[in-house]
Amino acid sequence: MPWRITAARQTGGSHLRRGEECGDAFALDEFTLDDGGSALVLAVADGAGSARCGGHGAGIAARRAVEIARDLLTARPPADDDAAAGLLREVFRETLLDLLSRVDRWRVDGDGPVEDPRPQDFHTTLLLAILARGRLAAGNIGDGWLVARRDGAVGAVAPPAPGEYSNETFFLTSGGALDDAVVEVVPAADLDAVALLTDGTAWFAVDLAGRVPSGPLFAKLFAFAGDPSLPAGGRERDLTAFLASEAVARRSDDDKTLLLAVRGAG
Amino acid sequence: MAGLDHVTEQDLVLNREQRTPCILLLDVSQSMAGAPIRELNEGLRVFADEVKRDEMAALRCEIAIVTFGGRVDLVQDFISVGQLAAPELEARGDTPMGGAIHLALDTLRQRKESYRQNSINYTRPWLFLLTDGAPTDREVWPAATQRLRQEEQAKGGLVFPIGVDGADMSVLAQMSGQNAPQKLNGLKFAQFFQWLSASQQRASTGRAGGSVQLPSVQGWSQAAL
Repeated sequence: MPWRITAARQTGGSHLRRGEECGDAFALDEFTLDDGGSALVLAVADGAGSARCGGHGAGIAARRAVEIARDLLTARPPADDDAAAGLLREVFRETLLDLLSRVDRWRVDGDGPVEDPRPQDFHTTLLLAILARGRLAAGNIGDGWLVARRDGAVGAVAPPAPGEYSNETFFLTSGGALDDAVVEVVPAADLDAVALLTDGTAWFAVDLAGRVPSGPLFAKLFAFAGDPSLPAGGRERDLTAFLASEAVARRSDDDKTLLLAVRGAG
Repeated sequence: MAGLDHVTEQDLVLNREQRTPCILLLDVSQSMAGAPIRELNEGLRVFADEVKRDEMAALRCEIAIVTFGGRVDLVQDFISVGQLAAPELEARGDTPMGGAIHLALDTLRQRKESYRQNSINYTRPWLFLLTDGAPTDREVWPAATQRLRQEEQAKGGLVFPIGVDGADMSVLAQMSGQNAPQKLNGLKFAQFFQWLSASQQRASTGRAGGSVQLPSVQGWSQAAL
């Protein structure tokens, strides 16, 4: 069953004041597997503000994770939950290796985005969702949030582990990220909507103390994203405008990314 | 804008603002009498003024002040910088630096407990110690330094030792395993406190980031990193 996807991102006020570009990125792909089944891969990434090329790292991570996920899913479609989790971890590993080899090449060739590039210059979080073969496999490196709707009720999948400090998280390029990644596999048959958020969006969409997404907000977001009468271009515009709205900006001055996928007829 | 038009204030979550705590350990021993303590007091006034300029930071940033000179005093328990009234410090006595470290760590621990009980998010605390001498509470000092190093190692806080003219830099070097001690350029306390204000403001807006990129210390430090 096809998915209707709407995605938007907005540079945060605190970044605009410092003349910085948006440090978030997202990527997605919808395709058909050899057995005829459909697959949807979604990724959002949030570059570390303190990293010289955090946004660049986020762009590479999101794009490559989706590409690698497609390659691995096509080559070895998982037969059970364990295999699905293993495939997701393999995507993280290959994405990290891809980024590290780019950094090495830039340093050797001297043509990188900055002088003497190092992995920590590209620190980024990475949140990945793979919907295929009746499962949602979710992997979370960092502090993004994945919200899914089942039977009208929303809940988080692979939520970030609570850390002591609100301004610190871990990154794809942090030592031990592959071990610290939160991975969760759930049945997808009765999931009809999924949202991926970077933490700037979670700041106004998730009660972070109770770790509960806002039911009313996601009901409206999913209704909006699933509305067949709204054309794609208009939806992107409206979602971007929403992220830039005063009520949102007042709550969160960080970069915000929101990726909405709603199952339904084209 | 069907759907999003109907989103109301109540639909949006209002998470508690994060707090950015910083604790200052200030040497007010006899050797600070005269120009040094005058400049330190002026620096504190500069700090109290500067931090109030950024409304968001005034709410988020918190400061506590422990002094050590003859005795150890918590002259200011944690308070939001928007409400800080700069204390007027006097120089007297010897240098119970070890005692000050213990009191500072106790105060910090209580503040974190209070944050947790009230479901308040907070950033990794900063501890700044400024001294122009060496600790005189020698029987307390070893345990205090060890406790501080352990706290730093356990990621309990970031420690920044700063020496004023006359300070025993080798002692200061023992206080942190991550940050080499800085030497204050003359009596540039005002410049240091301006830098501290800017740094705290930056940290208070910071979200994801293993380390906040702090402004250059060139304005107040003898040797830039």
